[in-house]
Amino acid sequence: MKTLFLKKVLITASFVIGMGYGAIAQSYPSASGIMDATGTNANATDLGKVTCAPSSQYLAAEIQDQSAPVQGLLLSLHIYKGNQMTTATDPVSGDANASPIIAINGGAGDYYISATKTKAGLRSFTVTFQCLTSNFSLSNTSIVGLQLQ
Amino acid sequence: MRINIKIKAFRKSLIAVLMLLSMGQIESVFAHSAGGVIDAAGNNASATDLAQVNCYDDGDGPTGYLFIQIQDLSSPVPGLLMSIQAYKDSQMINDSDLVSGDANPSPGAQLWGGDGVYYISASKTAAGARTFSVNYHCMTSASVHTGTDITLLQAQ
Repeated sequence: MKTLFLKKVLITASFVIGMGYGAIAQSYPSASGIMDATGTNANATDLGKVTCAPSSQYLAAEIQDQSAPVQGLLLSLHIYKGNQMTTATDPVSGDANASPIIAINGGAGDYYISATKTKAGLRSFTVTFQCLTSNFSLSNTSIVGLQLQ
Repeated sequence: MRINIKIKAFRKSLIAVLMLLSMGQIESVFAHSAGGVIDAAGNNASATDLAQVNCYDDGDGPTGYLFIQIQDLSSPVPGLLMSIQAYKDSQMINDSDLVSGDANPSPGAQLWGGDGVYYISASKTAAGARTFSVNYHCMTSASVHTGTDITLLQAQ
């Protein structure tokens, strides 16, 4: 039930497409970018800080790998705050579907989200993220890019 | 007789370790390695283990970087790979073991963050139980091992 609701929220959010890491229009943020543009950095990691407004209880997010499939090359998304961390992976690159939605129940404040991959190779991707209240209403969400690789 | 006693004692210890391993998550610490079973039930694709590593000058010099490495000890499963991450302040790095179950860990990665608290995490790309080990070493800028302590924060 919760997952279905979060999915609906994020489908709404996905109508707004971002350019690079940055705060996107109103409360429906997503961020798109290219990781490992030279295709040589297996350790490449993008990192951002998401701030959830005081009314927030959760940060939910998903990742979509928009590049063509490559054997053994998968994109993952991590959310962490305090002593909690969770991970989602887009199991099929280049299709219309994102990873499963993940969420951390960390209250208001700063969360960190990051995109990683399993080996060298350029990847084009979109991350959609949304802060939510305890009853899953949207709450104010902003992001600052910390590291782009 | 003495040898026989030693063998029995070793065997007893080994059985105890294997029993702990079979109980799922344990934090085994041999020097600066740790490991366990992640997603023991095999149904949690989001399972992530998290720990805090404190790097400090133990007399061998201040920290230049944290070195990390992961080895997936389970048999290969298509689409199921293990990775390790390290992060501190505004930096993060990731390293993946591309061949599960062989004798080789991931290539290894360095996060240059100086002394202080780093976070390391182990994650995977799909649901499935994985037995794994990680190596973590705080190193000076001249690649000399220095003070390294770990605290487990989350085991899934």
